[in-house]
Order: sequence, then C-alpha cells, then structure tokens
Amino acid sequence: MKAVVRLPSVDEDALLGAAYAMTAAAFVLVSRKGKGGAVELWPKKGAAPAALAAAFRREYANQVLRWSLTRDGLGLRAETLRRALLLAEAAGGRTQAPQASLTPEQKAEIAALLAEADADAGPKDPLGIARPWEESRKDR
Amino acid sequence: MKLVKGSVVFTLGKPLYGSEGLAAGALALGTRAQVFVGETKAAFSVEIKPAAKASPEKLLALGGEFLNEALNHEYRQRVVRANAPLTQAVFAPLFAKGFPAVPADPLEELEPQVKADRAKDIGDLLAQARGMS
Repeated sequence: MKAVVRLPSVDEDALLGAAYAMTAAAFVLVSRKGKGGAVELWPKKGAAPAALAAAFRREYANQVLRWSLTRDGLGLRAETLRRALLLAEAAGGRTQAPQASLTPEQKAEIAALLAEADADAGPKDPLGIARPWEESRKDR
Repeated sequence: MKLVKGSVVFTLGKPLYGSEGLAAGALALGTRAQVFVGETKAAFSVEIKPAAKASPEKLLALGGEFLNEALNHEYRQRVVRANAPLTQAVFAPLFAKGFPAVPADPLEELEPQVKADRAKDIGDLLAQARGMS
C-alpha cells in the first residue's frame, strides 16, 4: 500500500528536500511532469499512507520556505563571508586584541569572594538528606 | 515499484535522477542484489534482482533502499550546487594566494604570436569546461 502525492506546480529543490526528509519513514520515488511533480511513498513500517502523505505536504511547505530564504540571502551571506575572510587575512590570521587584564583591586575582590565561598560550610542538613545511603543504614 | 518475477522494477525520470544517483543506489545494495539499468532519453528503467530468493516485503525493501540512496545523492548534490557561492568565497582567495601569477614566458616575449595562440587555446578550453557544467 503506497501513498501518492501530486502537486500541480512545484519548487524542485523543495520537492527533493521534502522527499529526502521522508526517507526515514518511507521509501520515496520522485517524478516531474511539466510544472508539476509527484511523490510516491511506500511506508517502511507501521505508518499509514494517509499520514505519510499529510506529513509530506507539511514538509513540502516547510521546504518551500527554507529554500526561498536560502536563495534570497545567499549572495549576502557569500559577500559577508568573503569580507570576513579578508579582514581575518588583513589581521594576519591572529586573534583579536587580548582582553584588558584585571586591576589589582579587582583581583583582590575576586580572591575575597573565593575565600568567603570556601569558608561557607553550605546549607544545614538536619534530616540527613545529603548523607549517603550506607551511612544512614549504619545508624539502624 | 512493481514486483515482476522475483525482481523489483521502477522508472526514474531525468533529470531529477542522474547516473551518479543510480550508482549510489546500486552501491548501497552491495552484494545483496544485482542491478540492471536501461536508459531512454527521458528516463532510466531499473530492475533489481536479489542475490537470494526474497519475499515481496524484502523485495520492496531492496528497491526502497536503492530509491532512498539515489534520492539522498541527488539532493546532496543539489545542496552543494546551491551553496556554491559560499564555497567560492572560501576557496577563491586560497587559490589566488596559492597560485600567484607566473612570470612572463620568454618565448611569448620574443614571439607575440605564441601568446596569441595560447590565449586562444585557453579560451577554447575554458568555453568547453563551462559548457560541461
């Protein structure tokens, strides 16, 4: 038992993307006819053909949006990447300027905070919740 | 997919599916089956014959595995092609840096026709290469 989904007009990239996304749940065969396209789905195990068809339609709508965004921003991303690489090249491949070091006052403040944390014995445990199970058994 | 005399057969339309996708599908099946391919201008016809006698479910699974692998290959190629501008942005500067302009050839300096002939040959080769993509 297979499901067949026919679309009157398709974005081919999205059609293939949606078909690919279905390969975990089904065996998939894609075809084109004019502006349209079709997908045949054979469930691998358990899935109902109608559910597969519905899942494919949802995935196709998703892929149409994803491919549209990909195409729209591609030139911009390529140019951004090109310029970023040029900047990295101009910097000699080194990392950015090192962070400013801490002042003596800041270091002293951090040391005081760490000492305070070390001196704190932590919350009290009157019910013995933090004690290991073996120790609590010894008392009995 | 149709089951015919212990084999599974189907047709894959061009250009959605190409010969490399078919090869990827056949490779996925390995020694479990033999794959026969026929070709027309518009499509490939594929017959998959299992190495050992197989149940209808097993035949469909073999055919399905082939189909999914071929689709996987075709879609990955499409994603690679779609991202070509990003790949170019990364590799073009590296190639430009790795292959600096060569110094002038003394032969071309002495005989301008050599330079003209070479330029024509290179132009022809580039046109041929662009026609292949």
